[in-house]
Amino acid sequence: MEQESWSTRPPGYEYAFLDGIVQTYSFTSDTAVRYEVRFKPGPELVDNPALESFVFEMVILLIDNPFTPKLPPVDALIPATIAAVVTHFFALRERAMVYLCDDSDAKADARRKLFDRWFERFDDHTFVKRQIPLAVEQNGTAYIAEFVARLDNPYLEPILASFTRVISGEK
Amino acid sequence: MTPQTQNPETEPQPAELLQEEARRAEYRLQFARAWMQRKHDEQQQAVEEYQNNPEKRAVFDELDRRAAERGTRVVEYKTTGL
Repeated sequence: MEQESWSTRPPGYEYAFLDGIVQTYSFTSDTAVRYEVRFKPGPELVDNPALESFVFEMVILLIDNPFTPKLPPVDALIPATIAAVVTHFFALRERAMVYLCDDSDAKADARRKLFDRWFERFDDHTFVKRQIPLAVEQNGTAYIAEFVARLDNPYLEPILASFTRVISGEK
Repeated sequence: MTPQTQNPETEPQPAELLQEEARRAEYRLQFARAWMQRKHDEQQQAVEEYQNNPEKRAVFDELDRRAAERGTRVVEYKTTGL
């Protein structure tokens, strides 16, 4: 069976990239839903100043949703688009990103599984992903962070260890 | 077999360990809640920014224009060869 990879990835939506302190990628779906994917510096996510400039938080924002109050329909092109965005962001191999799955509509677990699926679908072992449980509310809502970096990131283990210390309150 | 020894003045006692574990669990919960709240705030701000910032709208307008010209929003991505 032929495996899809980041270098032979399928088409997706055209995106606009805005370079800056926050790296911003904007795109619109065929159903006119507008999205932004932001990579924001996350110096507070590590306890080692030497690593601060390499750590980012990824957020996926629904900028304009014509289906409000409903969520946008499932769109098979969005995972491919996000994969392309992530690949572009990781052109600098020293970077690492953290993504916190949203629980705003009690679909956090479904979103996390979606994140896992698109990562597994498009990863050709260029990247490493670690799932890091943060905490669980009494009502069962779990907070889970996803950590992603390139396998050839020379600071992979120090960044991961530093992030783990910060979220554990060990600093 | 060497007997285990413990100095109660230097070694943490079970009650202290439980306290420390509870402190860390509470820290992680507060950390996660604050992070999630920041995400929700940013989502709200992003919508308002799009509605009120012409530069932000211009980015999407340009994508719309290019899509209309091509007849599709879908593109083939260039490979990066990471």
